[in-house]
Amino acid sequence: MVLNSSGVGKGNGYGYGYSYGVGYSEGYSNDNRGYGYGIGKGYGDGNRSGGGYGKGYGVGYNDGWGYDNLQGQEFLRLVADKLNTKWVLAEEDTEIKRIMMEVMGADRFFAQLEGQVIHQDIDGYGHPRLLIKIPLPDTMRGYVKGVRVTCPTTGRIYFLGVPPECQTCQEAVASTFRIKPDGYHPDRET
Amino acid sequence: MTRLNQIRQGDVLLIAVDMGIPAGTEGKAEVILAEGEITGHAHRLTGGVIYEWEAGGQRYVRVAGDKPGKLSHEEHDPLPASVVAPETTYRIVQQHEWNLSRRWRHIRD
Repeated sequence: MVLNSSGVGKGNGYGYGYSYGVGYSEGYSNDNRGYGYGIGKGYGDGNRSGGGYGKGYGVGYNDGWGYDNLQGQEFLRLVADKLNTKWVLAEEDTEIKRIMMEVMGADRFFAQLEGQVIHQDIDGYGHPRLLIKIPLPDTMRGYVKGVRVTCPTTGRIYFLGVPPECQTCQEAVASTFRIKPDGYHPDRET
Repeated sequence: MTRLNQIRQGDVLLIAVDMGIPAGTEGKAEVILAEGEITGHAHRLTGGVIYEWEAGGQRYVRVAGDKPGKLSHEEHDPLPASVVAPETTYRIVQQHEWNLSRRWRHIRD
């Protein structure tokens, strides 16, 4: 997550490991609230079986009060009304991005994208795939492209960024595995 | 059973290729194909003796013997699925996403 932040963004990284945790945080500001999250990694000390991974989210207010150590989804629900497509698209972790879309509501997310569907088809499991061009003035071409896909096992919806040259959903999905469109044909997918 | 040439499990794709095991590669009982940093879930390959190696910047696996390897993942295949053809080399491809700064990045579910 990287957006300009000048506010109180306050994330707490912590680790589940026995030895110590290393964390970092990134913050957002919106009105008088700052939103932050931190990611911590825990390490074992060799004597106790350690190693782990933790995340902390926080919301801070300008008056100094706030919440910290929130769980990811709890944090996102707290700020659900503030989530917007720019924030979601800027998220670099695909799984966090998916959760953001889920909390925001897929319909609301895609409605706010104001994107143009340039290709659509049905995947091998009967789910629609949509290749969407999104106007984004800050980028080199003035737009980005993403493909909306559904996991056949979990039913979760993902929106994956793809190269701007992609013209079809097949080409877009194949590109995410760095293979040519006609070379992508899974015999089994879960 | 018909050999599966492409097996996709979430953000991991196995593609059958024509390649032998490099000399000196040691077999193991389990190979983690990929691991989700956020979820902690793992794409695992087990069953028999498995060879894993890297060549030309790519990762490969091959299950030795006459029984298929078992693929499992906490969400995608909670019950290990015997779908990885034995004595067949597969290239492991991790899904990537193009981000706004125009760079590819790994996807890890």
